[in-house]
Amino acid sequence: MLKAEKISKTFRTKHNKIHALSSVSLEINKGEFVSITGPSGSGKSTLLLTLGGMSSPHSGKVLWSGESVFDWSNEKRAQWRAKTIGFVFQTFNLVPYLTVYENVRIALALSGKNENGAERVSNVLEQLGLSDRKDHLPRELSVGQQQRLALARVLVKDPELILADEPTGNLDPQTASEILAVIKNAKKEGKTVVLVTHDPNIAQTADRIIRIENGEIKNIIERAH
Amino acid sequence: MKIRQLVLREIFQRSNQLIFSLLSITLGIAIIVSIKNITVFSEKAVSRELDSLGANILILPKSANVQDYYSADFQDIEIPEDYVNILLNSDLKGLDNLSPKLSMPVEVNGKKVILTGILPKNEFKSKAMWQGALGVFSRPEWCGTVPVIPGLSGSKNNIVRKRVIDDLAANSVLIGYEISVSLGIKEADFITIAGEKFKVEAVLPMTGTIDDSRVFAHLHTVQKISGKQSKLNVIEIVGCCSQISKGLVQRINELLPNAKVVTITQIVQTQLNTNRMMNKLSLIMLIIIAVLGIAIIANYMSANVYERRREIGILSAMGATPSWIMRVFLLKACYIGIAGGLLGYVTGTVFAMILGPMFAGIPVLPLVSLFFYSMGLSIVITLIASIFPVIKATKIDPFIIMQEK
Repeated sequence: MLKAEKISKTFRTKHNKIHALSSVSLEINKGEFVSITGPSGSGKSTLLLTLGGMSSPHSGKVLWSGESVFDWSNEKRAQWRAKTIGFVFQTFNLVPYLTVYENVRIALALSGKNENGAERVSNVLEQLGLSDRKDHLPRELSVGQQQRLALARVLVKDPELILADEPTGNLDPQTASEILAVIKNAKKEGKTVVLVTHDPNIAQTADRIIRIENGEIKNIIERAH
Repeated sequence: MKIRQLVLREIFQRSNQLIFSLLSITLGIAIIVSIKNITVFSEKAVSRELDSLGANILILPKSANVQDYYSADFQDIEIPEDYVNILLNSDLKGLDNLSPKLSMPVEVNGKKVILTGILPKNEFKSKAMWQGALGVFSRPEWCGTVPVIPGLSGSKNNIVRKRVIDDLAANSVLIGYEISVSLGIKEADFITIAGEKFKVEAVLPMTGTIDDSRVFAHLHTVQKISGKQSKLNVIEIVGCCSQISKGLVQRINELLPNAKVVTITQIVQTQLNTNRMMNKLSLIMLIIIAVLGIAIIANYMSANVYERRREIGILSAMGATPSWIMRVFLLKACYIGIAGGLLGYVTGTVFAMILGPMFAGIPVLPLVSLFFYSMGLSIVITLIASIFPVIKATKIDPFIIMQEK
């Protein structure tokens, strides 16, 4: 489904050259739940964002159903992201001046899946317990509600692949487990999930755990559930 | 959700930041509108002053020359009065203050003076075939229609300034300043010309021209005294200078092949040069303010793009295409342009109406044409100013932005 072939990415600073990813290869299968773990600065988030077509690797390829996503035009890659991928971030990344409803609605609008749009948005807000907050701005929500909104924005467009970058990093344990439950539920419904985390307990819940250090895959643990 | 909703929501949620840029564009457009507005009315005021230079087109008998016109000595050479009909019934544009005249030497109180017959404005009104001709007494829009300014265009001055008079009875005369002084004639006095008694309707202000030594009577009275029924010596026209440069004289020549049509080059040149100068001044101001406006809006849009780079990253992660992001910023620029144009027009017009009379001594009225001008200009300025910031917005690397935690 999604494949990385020897992808490398380097950042240059004034004095240094940082190898964020060094010849990383991996394959994510349809319906799989993969966690990527490793210490801070190991390249986990860089790998996730590169897999999502957000920035091209300096070498190597990211393949979606056999096609190299970075050989596509920016427009085509953006449309692919809009329809196929749902990003969830540690810092929620909500549009600050849009209401809860509008934040979800715009994600749906960008995906082009506008049929029964209002109903779909209402359903997903109901599912995530945000119906009574639909006219509120993100700053008026608790952090847990904000992350649920970020998830609602992803789930409303029914993506094939969810890429989550430390989605529980800013949350208390109770809220974190609620968010994780939503992600696991999405996996149960057949979605593919790639989750970046530095929390070993959360990583353990995945089908496969990929450990990264210094931009290289150190080991891959397959887990039977 | 439509782009329009997103843009409006952003504008209203961050109205504080918008106010400064909106004020800037509004002020810029207001300055342009007020300058343009004052310039338009200044041009009209200048053109009114140029009118006082006199006619710039003369229709003379074929064998007469300009010297004959200035000395009012036509030696019994005339043109038919019917030429006035022909001119008024033609489709010529740019004819203004058409004034047929017939002159003859007479004696007043033992002094030789020129008696000139003129046709008052009410004669044009009374003739059915000239019903559509009253436009000749007001400059067409492209020549700078002169608004009526209370206190500036009294009836006495009219014959000097515009060379037309509203009404003149058959037994009334207007006398030039010099005759009034040298013969001690005052308003409401009676004088005798060719055995007939005339009431002095008015003494004309001093002009410094041969008109100061003339007596003006009704054209038909002079035709009767001289025995030259339906004859004229000259038809004076204040022609629109832009139409003269487009071949008005040639067209009159074609219309009246048996007359001599001449232009007073000095007057026409002065009019053309003045108009050219006013247009240049207006253009220079427009360029300065457009550049300033572009700089201010470009600065705001750049700051807005920088401030919203994370949001651009978020939208990009959600699948917003570069062209979609471009549309968001360009639509915002359009909205700022529309609001700036509207507010700028209103503010600029109010400025012009207050400052015009105060500093330039001219009355200024709102010009609807400037509304469309300011709207168009404002939108164009904001769009041009937004081009580079918008291109920058579409090139923001969402990867870098999303890495900022």
